[in-house]
Amino acid sequence: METVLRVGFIYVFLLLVLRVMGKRELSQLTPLELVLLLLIPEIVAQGVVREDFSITNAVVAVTTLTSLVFVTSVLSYRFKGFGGFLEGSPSLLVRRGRFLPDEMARERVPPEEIVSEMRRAGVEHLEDVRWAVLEPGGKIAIIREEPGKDGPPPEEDEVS
Amino acid sequence: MRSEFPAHLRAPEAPRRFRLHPYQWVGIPLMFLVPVLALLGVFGETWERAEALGGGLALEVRYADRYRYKQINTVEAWVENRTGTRLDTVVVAFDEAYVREFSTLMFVPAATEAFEVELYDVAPGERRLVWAEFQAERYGRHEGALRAYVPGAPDTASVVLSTLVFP
Repeated sequence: METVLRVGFIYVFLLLVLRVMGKRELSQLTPLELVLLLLIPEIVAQGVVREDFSITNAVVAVTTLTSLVFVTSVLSYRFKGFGGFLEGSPSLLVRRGRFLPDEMARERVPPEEIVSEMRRAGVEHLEDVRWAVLEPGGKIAIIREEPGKDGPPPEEDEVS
Repeated sequence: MRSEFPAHLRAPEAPRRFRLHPYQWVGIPLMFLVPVLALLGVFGETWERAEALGGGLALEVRYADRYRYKQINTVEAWVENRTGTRLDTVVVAFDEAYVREFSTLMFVPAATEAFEVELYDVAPGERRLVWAEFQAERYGRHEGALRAYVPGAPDTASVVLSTLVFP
């Protein structure tokens, strides 16, 4: 049945498109992104169900989609590389109290957004941030410098 | 140049095994079964061909015997005059009980209110097509006869139409 193939194609297509868009678009809902998220289902629905509004077609479409999501999540969990490809990896935005402008530009995260996350984490000064990490889900994690500590032990500061 | 990610902020390695909750061992195969059956054509349209002889007429019908709610399908009925004489009128009659289960969109040639189509002046050996378009309105299996006959003749060519409509 064509619906299975259509859902499969749209699923893979959307996975790739959302992956290419980047992490930030997943967690933020700016007006532009809201328009995008509202428009995608409108456009895709026509391609998936066509003129067929039967319950049978809806059940086939939904079970195809949930099956694909299940397979993807199992593969993503089971194989680290596949998970990394689908979900991306975290990006470092601040290192030891300094912005990392190249990575911020790549992820389109302005300094204001990092400072906003710092405020939410109760951190006042950039110098108090040891790491700011943009997680694959789009959230920014702030790890503060611990007072009384001169710095991390050498093995903690290693990079990979 | 990409900033390198601190090693200690990365997740440590842990065994990654495939495990399911007990209820998932039942639910997941069932979930996969639906698209697999769909790919095998279980929920798709299928077509049936039926033939009958009677009253000097040969009737051949092609119709959808399985399709889905609100889909539109056609019934094609070919009638052939096998009498050896020219027939003034041949009637092709759809069973009302069958047609009422659908919303009828069109008969070609046009039908009367009783879902009968009249074909005029049919030469010996001539084949004529009666074509009807139906939209599925009710779920379930619908059955009814499609008959072709010459008015006044004792015999008819009749086939049974049986269509399953998925919800």
